[in-house]
Amino acid sequence: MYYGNRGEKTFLCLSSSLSFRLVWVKKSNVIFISVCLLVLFGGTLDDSAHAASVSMVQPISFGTIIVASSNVTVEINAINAAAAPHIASGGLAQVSDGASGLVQVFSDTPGQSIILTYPDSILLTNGGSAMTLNGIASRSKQSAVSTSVGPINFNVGGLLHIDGGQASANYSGTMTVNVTINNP
Amino acid sequence: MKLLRYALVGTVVLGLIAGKSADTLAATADVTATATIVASALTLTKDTDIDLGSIIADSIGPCTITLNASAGAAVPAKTAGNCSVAGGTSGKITVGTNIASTVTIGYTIVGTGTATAANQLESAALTMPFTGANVTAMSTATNLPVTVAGPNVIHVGGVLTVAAAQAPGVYTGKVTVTVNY
Repeated sequence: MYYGNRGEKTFLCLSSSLSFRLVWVKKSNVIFISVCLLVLFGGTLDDSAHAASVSMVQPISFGTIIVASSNVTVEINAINAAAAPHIASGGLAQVSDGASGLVQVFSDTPGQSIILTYPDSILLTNGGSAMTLNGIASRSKQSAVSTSVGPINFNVGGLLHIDGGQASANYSGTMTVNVTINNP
Repeated sequence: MKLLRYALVGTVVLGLIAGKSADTLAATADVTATATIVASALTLTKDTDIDLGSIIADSIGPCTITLNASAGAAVPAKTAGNCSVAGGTSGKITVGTNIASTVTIGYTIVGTGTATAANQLESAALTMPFTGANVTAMSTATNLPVTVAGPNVIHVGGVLTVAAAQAPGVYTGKVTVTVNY
């Protein structure tokens, strides 16, 4: 907080971790604006003032997939909303349970442009067995502009490739999602 | 003069705001992905053997005993000739699966005594024709929808050709049923 009184001109500048606000009391705003800009360029506003946060709320789960001898792809298309996995192509297979992942970005300033960048592919592994998960970006929410302070959800999907005769096991992998927040 | 000073200050202010580059923050989030793979499985359990009953052969001409189980469990009946049949029942196999599908069934007759006895029932050196083609025709259709909950049942029948004055005895054979997704 920066507070000052210069003659009959009273002004108040407030700064918090969430926002920077200017409030003036008197009608003449010439001196007020000048001083507040000095405060701004004096270092009060930095990245720490925009304490946006990013967290994984829910992992991507492709559920339980029963496969026969043919190659199969299982898709979670979460580009528009949360989604469940389904058999996208291939031979005999059945999928149950599962859901898209969820990354939550907390916007601390309305108007923030938030962009998520996903890897092209990752491997889901169990011991020496592996499956490829790709097509992530095209099946996930990639960007948003905040309209208010609060969390913004990004649903995450992808396309899982399962070989015929894929070993029965629990597979897992981790992708790193890069988040860029452009403040207004 | 005062108006000019206001205008100058306003211009400076707007210039400072416009020239201030937007802050860019960067972060990462690790997202876990999981999947459980289970191999499909089919199990076959023989519940009932095929029994073509007790047949009294005709001493003069051949006869045919038909066990038509294509629509479900059945009992044998004489369909040609002058022999008679009593008792008997169609075979029954239960299919278990962990995935709903339509399976393909194959029927093959193999002898129980000699290597050359395919498509025959045998009693020592004696045989009676009992062909795989007829078993296929008289059993559950070769495309069978199966569910996880079941019951998924294969009924097995066939056609037995009894020669005139067929030698008495207990004739046996084996039907191999193969099921594929």
